[in-house]
Amino acid sequence: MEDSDEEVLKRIRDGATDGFAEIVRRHQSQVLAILHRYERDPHLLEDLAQDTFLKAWRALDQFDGRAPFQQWLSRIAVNVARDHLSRQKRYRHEIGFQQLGDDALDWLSSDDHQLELQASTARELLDAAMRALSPAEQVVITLQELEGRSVREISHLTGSSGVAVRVRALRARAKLRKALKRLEDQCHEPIQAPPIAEDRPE
Amino acid sequence: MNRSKLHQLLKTARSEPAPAPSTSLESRIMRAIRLAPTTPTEPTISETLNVWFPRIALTAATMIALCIAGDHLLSAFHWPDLEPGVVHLSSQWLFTEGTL
Repeated sequence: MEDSDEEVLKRIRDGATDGFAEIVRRHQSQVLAILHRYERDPHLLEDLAQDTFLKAWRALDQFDGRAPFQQWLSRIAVNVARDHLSRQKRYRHEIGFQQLGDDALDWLSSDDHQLELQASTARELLDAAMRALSPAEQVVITLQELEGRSVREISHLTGSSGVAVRVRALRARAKLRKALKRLEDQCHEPIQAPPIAEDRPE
Repeated sequence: MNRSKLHQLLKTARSEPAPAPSTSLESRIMRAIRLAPTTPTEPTISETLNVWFPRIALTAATMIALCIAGDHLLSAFHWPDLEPGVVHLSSQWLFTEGTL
């Protein structure tokens, strides 16, 4: 039978530092699943995963075992994701509909609610709209809408109060809808015809 | 964007699967851990000053601004200030006749 996380952690604390490889093996999928909500580039995603485990390793003394290790690690992963979004916010600006792919544009401009939407296209659209949100708002809306977590869980993961999470989620949803509406409106705008050169008398 | 379209967008985005970890991820993390110091190093004096200086400067600037604003307010409303009292005390205690 496999040892529990707590038993492996105890062995690590007693000096068997290579036991952390077992922790990485067990939780890397879960960490990637959290981080993938914020970063889709595979190289950056693995950098963030490495950062998460490195931070966990350095803070291992602070893990008191009151909550499951998985929950503690998730909290670190969420913090790493938020820091990553903050760094990116400096040079990532809102994007216009011109930068979206054809499938995303088709779906945005269509009034047919049955039109099929691929998961990758949905993410592309959502990522574009999310740029209008602050990193903290992005984290809250992602945890709530994409991971389906409760306010209490989000509060625990982000270290914010329940009221702050609710307010932030409301604000984030309104901003998200506005950003998507802006993209939608851009799709419906009539295409400007290029100016026709007047015939000049020779 | 209407509610049902937003709902469809979120629901579909939720279904996107996360990528499987690459075979090298575990070894890469363990290599980074072996290279990293076990505990964060103690911050140097300059690092500590770098952290504290902006806060101290901001507090000092706020205090100065508050004092200037307070002085202006006192002057504007002709409220009694400390000046006569200080002059009186100085003449009595600091610069009394025969001390200089």
